Amino acid sequence: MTSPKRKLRLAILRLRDNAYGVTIRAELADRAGRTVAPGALYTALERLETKGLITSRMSEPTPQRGGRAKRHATVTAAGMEALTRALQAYERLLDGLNLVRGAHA
Amino acid sequence: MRDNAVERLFSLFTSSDRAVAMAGDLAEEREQRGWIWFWLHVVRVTFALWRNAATEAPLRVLALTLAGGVLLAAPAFRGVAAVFLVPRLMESPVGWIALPFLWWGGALWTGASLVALAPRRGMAACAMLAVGGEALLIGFGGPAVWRDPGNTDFVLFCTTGLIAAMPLLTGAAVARRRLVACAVLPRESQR
Repeated sequence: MTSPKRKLRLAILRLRDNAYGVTIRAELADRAGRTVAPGALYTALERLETKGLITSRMSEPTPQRGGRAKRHATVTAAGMEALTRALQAYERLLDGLNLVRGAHA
Repeated sequence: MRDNAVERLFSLFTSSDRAVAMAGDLAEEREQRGWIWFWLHVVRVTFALWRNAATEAPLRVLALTLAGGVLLAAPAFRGVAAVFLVPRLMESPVGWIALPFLWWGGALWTGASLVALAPRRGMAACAMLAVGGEALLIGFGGPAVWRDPGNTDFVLFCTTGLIAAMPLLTGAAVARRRLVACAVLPRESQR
């Protein structure tokens, strides 16, 4: 299985320009069936940013957030490269296995 | 009107722009999930930020916590001396006024000093010192008070000690807010 941090980067990639706390949590819940607490999400995002795997920028403040800005996340080139490497390794491990149909060929 | 209390709380452990975004995310979800969810997650996010600040550099935070303990020791001993070592002050109200003055003043100064010493980790160290101190006082003082509730001197000592966590955290919070407001801390160092 992909690690929680890889899932987080995949969710950011899927959301494109709309990846911020609320949408990332919703995307992970919808697509991965994983409910992430806000505190865990923010610390994970901060760690990924410290490692240079994602970057973030502040948007304009919006009224429905009490006049507060959103912090949008984007996967960096280094983050993409690390993600691609990990997924290729994952695909190689899966190659030849037919787990979805229940047969181990 | 925008309530800044939550982002001020978060900004004690992270940069101010991150704190604004986190408070905004929780405010956005509050509409659907309600106030109880909101405040529960304000506490959980604060705890997560503190834990993150402490675990990113555990040895540094531990060293700062120990330094805080040493800084607190001097006013603590002066407070004890004011009550017990000066015969004229013993059992007089002056001694019991001097004790909280010295302990709480010392705690306030210790909090501010730790944050001035290490803006990024000082707040986490202060929170650790406050929690550790409270646990020690409750662990050792609680059973003694339970056994002998009539010993008002000891009860007063324990109560003054327990309240000292508040000036410790207040001193640290005020120092951190001043550093952020004066732009002494660059964005990255605020984390």
